[in-house]
Amino acid sequence: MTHPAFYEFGSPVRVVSGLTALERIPGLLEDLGAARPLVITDKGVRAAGLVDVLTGALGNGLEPGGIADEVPPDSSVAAVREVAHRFREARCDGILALGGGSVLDTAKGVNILVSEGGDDLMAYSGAGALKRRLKPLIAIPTTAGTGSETTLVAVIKDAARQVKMTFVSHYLIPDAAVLDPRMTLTLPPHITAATAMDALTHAMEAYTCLAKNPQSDAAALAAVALIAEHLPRVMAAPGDAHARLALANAATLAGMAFSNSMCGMVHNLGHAVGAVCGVPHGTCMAIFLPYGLEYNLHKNGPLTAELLLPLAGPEVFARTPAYHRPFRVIEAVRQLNRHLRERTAGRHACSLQEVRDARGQAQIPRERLPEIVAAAMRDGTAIYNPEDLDREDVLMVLTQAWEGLPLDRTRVRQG
Amino acid sequence: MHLPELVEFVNPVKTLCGRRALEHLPFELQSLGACKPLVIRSDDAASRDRLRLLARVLGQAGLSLGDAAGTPGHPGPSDVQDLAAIYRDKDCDAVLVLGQGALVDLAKLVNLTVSAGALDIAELDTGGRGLAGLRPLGVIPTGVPTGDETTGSAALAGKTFRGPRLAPRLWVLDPRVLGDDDAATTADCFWTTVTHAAEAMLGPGANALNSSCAAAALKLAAAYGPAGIEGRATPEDRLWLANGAGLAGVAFDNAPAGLAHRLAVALAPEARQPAGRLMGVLLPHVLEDAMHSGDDHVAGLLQPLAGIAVHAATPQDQRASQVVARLRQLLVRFYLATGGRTPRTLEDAGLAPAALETAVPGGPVAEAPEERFREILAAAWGGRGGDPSPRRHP
Amino acid sequence: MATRWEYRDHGPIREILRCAYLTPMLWFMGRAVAAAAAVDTDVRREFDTLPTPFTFALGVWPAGPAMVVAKGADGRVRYRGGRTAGVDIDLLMQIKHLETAFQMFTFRESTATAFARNRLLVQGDVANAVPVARVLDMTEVYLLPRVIARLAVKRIPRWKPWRTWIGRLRIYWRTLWGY
Repeated sequence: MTHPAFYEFGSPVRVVSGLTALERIPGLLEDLGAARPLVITDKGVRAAGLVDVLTGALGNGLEPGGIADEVPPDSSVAAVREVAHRFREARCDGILALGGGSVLDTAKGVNILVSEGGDDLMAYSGAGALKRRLKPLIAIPTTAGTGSETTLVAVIKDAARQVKMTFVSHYLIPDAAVLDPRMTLTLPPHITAATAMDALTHAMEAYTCLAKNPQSDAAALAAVALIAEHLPRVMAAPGDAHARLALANAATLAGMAFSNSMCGMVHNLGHAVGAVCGVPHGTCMAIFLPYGLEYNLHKNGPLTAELLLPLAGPEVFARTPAYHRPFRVIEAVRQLNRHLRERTAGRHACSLQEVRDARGQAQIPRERLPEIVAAAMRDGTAIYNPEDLDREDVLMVLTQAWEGLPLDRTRVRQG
Repeated sequence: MHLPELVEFVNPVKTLCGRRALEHLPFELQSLGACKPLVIRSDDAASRDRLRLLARVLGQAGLSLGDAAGTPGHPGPSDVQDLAAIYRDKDCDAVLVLGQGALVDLAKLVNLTVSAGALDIAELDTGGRGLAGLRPLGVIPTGVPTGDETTGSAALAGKTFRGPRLAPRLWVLDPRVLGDDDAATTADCFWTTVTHAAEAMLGPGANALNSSCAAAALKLAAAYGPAGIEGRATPEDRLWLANGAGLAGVAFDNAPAGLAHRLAVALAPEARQPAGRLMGVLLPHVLEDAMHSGDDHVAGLLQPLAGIAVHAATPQDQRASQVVARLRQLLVRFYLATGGRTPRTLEDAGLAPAALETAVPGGPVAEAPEERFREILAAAWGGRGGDPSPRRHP
Repeated sequence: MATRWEYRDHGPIREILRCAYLTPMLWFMGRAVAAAAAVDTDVRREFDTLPTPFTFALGVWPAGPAMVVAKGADGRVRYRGGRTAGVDIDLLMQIKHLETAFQMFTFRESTATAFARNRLLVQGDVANAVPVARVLDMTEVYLLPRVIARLAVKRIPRWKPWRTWIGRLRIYWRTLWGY
């Protein structure tokens, strides 16, 4: 067993998971000393009827102080200020963040303002600017993917100054994450597929990148096993609450793993494609995951090989010769992608050229690859990737991923 | 993996583990809003050296510390009050403990007392209000852990306190301060870790979140424990075993106490042995019982215990018995390595058969009615087991 | 019987030896970065991706030795001294402890490893930290002999030998004597 000479791991969020997890919220709030929470969410979540499910589960004992559904798809300073204003107006004392990544980022930003006072988020940006506990915040994820309910980071865009502000603090970790399958039962198949692949990427990168450690490893292996077993089940029977719950657990476990061990080039490339072409994060993760594993193979082979057990089961693992296991893992991920493409009638893309927007237009024209390269060179996750990546490397990987062809391993430069 | 109707899991402890871990402490303390921790330690030469290192590491980063040294054999409420008074007088804002066992429990209670502003430990609220208002508490183990370093439980003067507000926020494992201990003590640590981790992965409440934590603990203990007990441990081995022990503590806090744990605690006073050793003796029998009564989680222990390759190469229906066989093998190895100080059976542990009659585990015994835990005790007394035919239970 | 608790205070320490090593190292590194920006096209290109003007600092948390480098409104990169106080810094990278900084600057722990072990603290727009980290890596490749540089960076760039050697001479010259 190889271990890092030093590691840090912290994931103090209380996770409540189950078929009746939502009903536990009043009790959690009482423990945290809050009685009048503000529900922060977005229009899509509200339209899907999830706010009603939540308020129904809260029962008569707990009346939310209000429902703020004006969170934009990308969290922004303006939205944070507006929601903070609502919080104060309604004299709330806690937050229920119901939604995906941007809802949670917004909720964290709101919590900074309403706990510390004032309207100036900027004063608290960076690491370590917060010095005390904020108001109670409970995260209720509505996709099983991002894992952001476990992180201590919030990213909020300041449109006026054209910067993304990053907030890092222990105090930004939600007090609790509530995982209830009722929140993900109605997700359409292609989003289920993309978000689950996002979680799978978190887990696999956490297991193979530079900051891996025994605690993140355990969470990552558990997440891979859950996804491998339950994703095909959910695709076949979207109403399977147990399998949905398993995917939600996997996403949280993967979140715990990657937020401590960080992630590598799959995220690097994915962030870049997302920023340049506006492609959903999970879609990018699904496409790049096999490439990330392939690119780092010479440094990571033995670690990638170990992923075969949770991914394909003990029989396949034992049958596969040791030297062939990492290749088998990469092949299994590609196979899973193809299976998902089939199940979603082609909406789940396996290559960059297959990515389409809502109107069916190709979203990533080949001419834009150089722009994506430039964006990738400015993404922080490159630091945790085992092998170095320069412009030529990124372009080489992007070209293959655009075509949907495996990497030519002889073209990977080894450091 | 089963997913029960409703589970809760929390690991409130942040781990800083490995080379120069202490150097991360100043930043962590500062980001929790502390700049002058009260360090509680025992008053001896080795502890003085460790304090000197800690004072240097904190001092270089511009932090102060208050050093409280004492040698309480059996700490009592007066120690909690004295230390709380020092904390308040000297304007400290966090509690660190540089030490082991009873000292860690003491620090947990001191921190809760100063955080709650309580005067008497009888008034302490150990659960309830979440973590609000708690001062940061950091544990820096200095020897083979007891497994309570990361838990929300503390014992003082014969009374046990339990609750999430007792668990530390930081847990620092640095090889420079992590000392050695004898083989039998290491065996206690090993069996406590393995038992707590294994039992957290069993039963109807077992869930993916806690099992992942327990699996990490089991994996570390299995990989690094035997070397320590057989006297060939490197400082690295000790570090990783300690790491496993702490993780098992987290898993233990998130699951109901298992049968091997409770039987061992009930028998320990009579056997005049640390409960850890008895857990080791009982665990294979408890697992065998679980296996025969259809708990398919036992097989899942093989992967962390023996590694991915062994797990994959063992046929599904043999994994559970393989787990039990491996544990039995370890019992015998440790018995030989420690010259008989770690028992293989309850008889080795010096218990008379009559003592078994009176032993009753604390708490409700939902997983095993009385005749079954009597059976387990009887088997563990003589070291019987390995019977391939499943026993039938009503 | 009640225990007697002996109490003693320990205060902050001024570490002269470590600082005496790190201060000139950071001074040298800071000036070398500015020199490399003038000499090497790849380093220049990384600076071009940063906003203009832009100031970054690398130092020891909380107030230890540091280096401040600024890209001015004219695009020229200059070393701006060893003090972070009172300077408007866009990107602040701090090593969490003096001892850790000493390990890094004696090349016993590479930058990537230090990042993986979470030994650095980054404040400001994280996207800008990446070009800066690459600049620092390339500067180290120029300054250090290959054997040592290998310990400091993930992959040594495949430069032609003349590029490394001429670049190295020019960067050393500019670093030591100004430019």
